Amino acid sequence: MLEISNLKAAIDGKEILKGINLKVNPGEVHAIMGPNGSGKSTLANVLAGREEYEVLAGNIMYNGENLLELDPEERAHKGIFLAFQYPVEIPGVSNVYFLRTAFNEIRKANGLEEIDAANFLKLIRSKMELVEMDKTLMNRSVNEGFSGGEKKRNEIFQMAVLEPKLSILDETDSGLDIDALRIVANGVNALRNSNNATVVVTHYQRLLQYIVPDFVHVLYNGQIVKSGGKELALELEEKGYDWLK
Amino acid sequence: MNSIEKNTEKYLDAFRTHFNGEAKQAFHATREKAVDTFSRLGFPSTKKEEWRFTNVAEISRKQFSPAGRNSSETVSVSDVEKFMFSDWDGPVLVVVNGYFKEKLSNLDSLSDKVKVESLAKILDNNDKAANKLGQNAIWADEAFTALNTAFTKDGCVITVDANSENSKPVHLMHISTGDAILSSPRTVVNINKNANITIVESFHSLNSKDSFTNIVSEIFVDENAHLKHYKLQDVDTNSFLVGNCAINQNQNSTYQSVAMDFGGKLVRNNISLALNGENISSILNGLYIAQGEQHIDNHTFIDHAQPHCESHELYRGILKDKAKGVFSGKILVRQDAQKTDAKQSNNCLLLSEDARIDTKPQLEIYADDVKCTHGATVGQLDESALFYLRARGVPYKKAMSILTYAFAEEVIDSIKTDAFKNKVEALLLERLEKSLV
Repeated sequence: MLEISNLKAAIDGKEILKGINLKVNPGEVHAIMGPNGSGKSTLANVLAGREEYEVLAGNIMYNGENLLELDPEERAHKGIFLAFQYPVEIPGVSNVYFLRTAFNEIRKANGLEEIDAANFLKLIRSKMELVEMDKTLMNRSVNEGFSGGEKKRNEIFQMAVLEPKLSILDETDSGLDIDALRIVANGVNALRNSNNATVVVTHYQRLLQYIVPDFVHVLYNGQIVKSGGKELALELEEKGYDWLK
Repeated sequence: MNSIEKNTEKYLDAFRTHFNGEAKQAFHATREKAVDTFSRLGFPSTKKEEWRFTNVAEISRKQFSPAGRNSSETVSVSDVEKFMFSDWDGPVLVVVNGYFKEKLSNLDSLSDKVKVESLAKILDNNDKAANKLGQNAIWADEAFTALNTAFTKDGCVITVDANSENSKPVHLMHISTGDAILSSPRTVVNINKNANITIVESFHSLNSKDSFTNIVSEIFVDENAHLKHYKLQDVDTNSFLVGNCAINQNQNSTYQSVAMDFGGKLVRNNISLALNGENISSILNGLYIAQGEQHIDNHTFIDHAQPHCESHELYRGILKDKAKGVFSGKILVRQDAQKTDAKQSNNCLLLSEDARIDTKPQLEIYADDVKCTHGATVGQLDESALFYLRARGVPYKKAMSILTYAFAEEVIDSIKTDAFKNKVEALLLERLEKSLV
């Protein structure tokens, strides 16, 4: 599904990713762990197509296509979803309008008919329950005045509605208390199936107790320095990142 | 400088031929004084502080001919239809080139508590209502108000009886038609004690080229009366428009203005608000959208003369291409006006590198127990919001359009008359789709 080869990327002229190789198949959950500044968020943002990040070398193939040639919206149309580390507040745009527009744009791009407001509301009801989303948040402006936990839940709720093929969760656990963490993780787990894949970017092992990965990769100084199974996460928790230097 | 250098000579000439029967009106003495004043003042230059950012040389150089009543005869009922708001069930008053057209108007649903008269009739009858002209709109040092006073022959006079509530909103429609015509409508609105009403003004062009509308409105809101005053300016982008609106409020009254400026080549709106009583609330909101080489200037002046009053101002602008915007908001808090609560903000969105906004808040405060704030922001669309929308699958152009609409929405939301709000929303969406982003 996703194959990253020798990816080098920079922001503001500073090279952050220094040759990443990663292969993700359908049905898999990959965790990317690493200390602050190792390049985790850069990787997530490059995958989503954020223009501030400059790709210096390497390539990313996604279902046989060169991902780097696609605009962010085209990537979304093809099933890529980034759950933001810092979800953006958009005053004046209601959550439900925003999500329906996104939903319909993805459908349009895939040759499907758009869905009207009433049917859309029916469709999202069960997804709201999945992440215990408060109904009143739907008519409020996107993320405006949401608590940290509500913002993160809103990301997973959007993911549930848009049903992406490849989800990238960028530090989704940061700033969550244990209850919110459980809700978010339950949501992610419920959406897992053999056709989609998830990349979980995180600093701590905590989230991985709830979202159990098939593979764990350690990102350090812009490179993946170690890969392994889920037990690698526990080892990191115990020893910290220093032993990898 | 003589009148030729000031470009006022042609108006002095026109003044001599423009009036027939009207010269017999008692008001004509005022016109004569006003034309003298106009000739003395001349068109304001950019050396004058209040006109620093708006150059009216193009208006002063052009040869406009003052609209005669005949010029308004070409407009038909079906022409007027085009500018109606759908689902509007209130009265519609039509003014063409400054002349009130009763035959084009729809007065069926006019409440018997609301009186609509033509200013021409009032002046012909030397009615005492004519004495109010010029009370609010002072022309001694305001050239455009003097010019209007000199040339006005007609307009609408709307009087709402005391204690009358729940009257249907009134739509006052201004149409300008013909080439290089100067229209000088004068609007007078009297809201008597304890009355409330909504008046929506709209400005349109019909087969017109290079027209110049120079309107003056005088509005009196008496004790405990409430006026919602909405405006849609959607004239052609070859039109010039200068508006002076002077409002006088008495105690416990409320006045809310929501002004939408979408059209015009060069537009200058002056709103001046005198708060002459306690517990007055005033709201001035505005949205201006300009592209190409449009120039839209909003000047507001709020005179807090008495204690315990509040005024809130929110102006938002969206500028593209080489468009220019000006916002100048002056708030004067006099010594007696303790406990004044005045808030002003102007935010402007620049969608191109060549667009420009000059913004100038001015607070002049002589009382010591007041709350006054002002803020101005100028910027582009939030890049991170744009990326967020795109990352969810919303295409770039649509994302721009959604964010631009959201920026305008707070102003549009302050409109409480649905038929008008819908019209404004539709116009904005159309503009967003066609050309704005």
